[in-house]
Amino acid sequence: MFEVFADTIKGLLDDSGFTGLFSNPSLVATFGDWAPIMPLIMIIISCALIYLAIGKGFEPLLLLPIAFGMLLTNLPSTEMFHMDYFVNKTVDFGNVLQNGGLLDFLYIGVKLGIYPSLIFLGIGAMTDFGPLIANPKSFLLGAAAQLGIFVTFVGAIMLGFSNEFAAAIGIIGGADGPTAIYVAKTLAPTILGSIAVAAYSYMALVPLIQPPIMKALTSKKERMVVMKQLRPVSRTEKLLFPIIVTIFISFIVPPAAPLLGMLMLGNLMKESGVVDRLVKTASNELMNIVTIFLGISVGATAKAEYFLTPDTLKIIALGLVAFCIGTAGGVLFGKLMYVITGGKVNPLIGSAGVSAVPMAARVSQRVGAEANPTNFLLMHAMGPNVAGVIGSAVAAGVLLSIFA
Amino acid sequence: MIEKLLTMRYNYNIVRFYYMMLNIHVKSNIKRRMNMDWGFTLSVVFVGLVVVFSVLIALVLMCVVIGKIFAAINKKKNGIVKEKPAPEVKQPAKATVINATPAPVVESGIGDDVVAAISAAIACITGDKGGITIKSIKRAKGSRPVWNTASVMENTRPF
Repeated sequence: MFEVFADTIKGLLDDSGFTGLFSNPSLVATFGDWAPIMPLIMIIISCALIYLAIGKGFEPLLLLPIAFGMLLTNLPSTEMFHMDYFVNKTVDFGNVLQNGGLLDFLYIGVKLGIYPSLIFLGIGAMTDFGPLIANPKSFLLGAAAQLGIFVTFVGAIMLGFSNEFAAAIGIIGGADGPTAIYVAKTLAPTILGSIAVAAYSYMALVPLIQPPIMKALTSKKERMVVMKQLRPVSRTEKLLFPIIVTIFISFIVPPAAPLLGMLMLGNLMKESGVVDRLVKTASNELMNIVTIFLGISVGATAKAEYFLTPDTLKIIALGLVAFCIGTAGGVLFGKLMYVITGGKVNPLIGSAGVSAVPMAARVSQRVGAEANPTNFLLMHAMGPNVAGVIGSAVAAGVLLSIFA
Repeated sequence: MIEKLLTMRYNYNIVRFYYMMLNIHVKSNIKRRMNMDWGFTLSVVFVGLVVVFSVLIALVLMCVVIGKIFAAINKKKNGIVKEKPAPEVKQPAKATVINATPAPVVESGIGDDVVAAISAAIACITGDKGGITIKSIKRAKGSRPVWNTASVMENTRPF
């Protein structure tokens, strides 16, 4: 009787997380004697992120699920997520389905590139390409702001990352969460967690990062420029735009097709006005569901043995560099356009070329209004802003076609 | 004296240790950079920027062309309709200009009631001191009308 009781208790203890802390082979292999502490550190980090999401309101819609995913994946002995199933180029999905945990199943959607594309469907259904069609020059600002991606790529290689990893880190400069995840899941699955955390944190910090750079690079006179009102765009133009862009870009950069195709489908559904129900679903319910799955499973990749490395600090530093250079690239190109057009373009809209829709456009609006309170740059900045989404998807396609 | 020498020796050892570490670090960095294929890296950057720019420039051209085509189509449509309402609009526009001119201190076309409102506002702020003459009232350059501003504010507030 007592033996059975003792055995049961011993069995429970062996299965418990406390024992799991000490008997995780991959943790021991990475950290040696420090192994038991590492999951606890990760749990503390995830709690801090949860605080930032709830208490400080940093992109809570994404950060909250990501942070909780980090918490779940680092709980010892729960076997909810196995990073090693997904690290190899070809994934043994049979094995994932046989032995995986809940987060493994959810992560399949990231690994197959389903979630980022579905998020783009919803973004497309909420985006108005009108300002871009009315002022096509904004496309150039969207391209210039991608400078951050490529400069960071070089920086990452200089810090000792491999080409593939450097490409995935560089894409943080696109300031576009789904695109960054889409590239990282293919090129650098082991650092996906760090990349996603860096990308989303900096996107939340755009209102703090961008204004000093924008002000440093422009004069007050340039910031005060009032831009001409945009021409009205006809419905037919708005309908043709997504179709033409999809065909054109997919022919040139096929790997960008899943992201751009879904973005444009969402937009076409919205502009067509004949499928209101689908638009509502794509931009609300579907997007919310996918956001939950994406957040949890991206958070799940931040397992202690992959996250608590010097590489994560480097990635976070490089991410900041990427955002700053992207902003600077956009503003400087805006200055160039200011000079060429004889002062008709306000260089502040250039910084909106880093995607981060619509936050970056809002920042342009705010900094512009500081210089001239009657100036409304918002719609002008939305042009480069949505062009930035297209630009970073193209950049992602280029990197994928070179390295994947 | 001996103690001092000992600490010096100790410090020297620390310095030597750091120097050694630094040297290793520098060496490893150099080695890494030697391994780094600059040609390949820069060609990736070059190809990336060229492709991104050329794709988006092509889209600019496409949008411009489509915009021109639609502008041409719209002109054709509007050309026939426009002729009739045009003369009707002109007359009331002139009338407002004539009405505005009698205001004594105003230079541009601003209505009497607006002048009264502005003077009242100034009087309200300056108090009963008096002796203030309003020499001219000009429309600020490049500003948009107050009600337009208010409506834009209202519409952009959610963003």
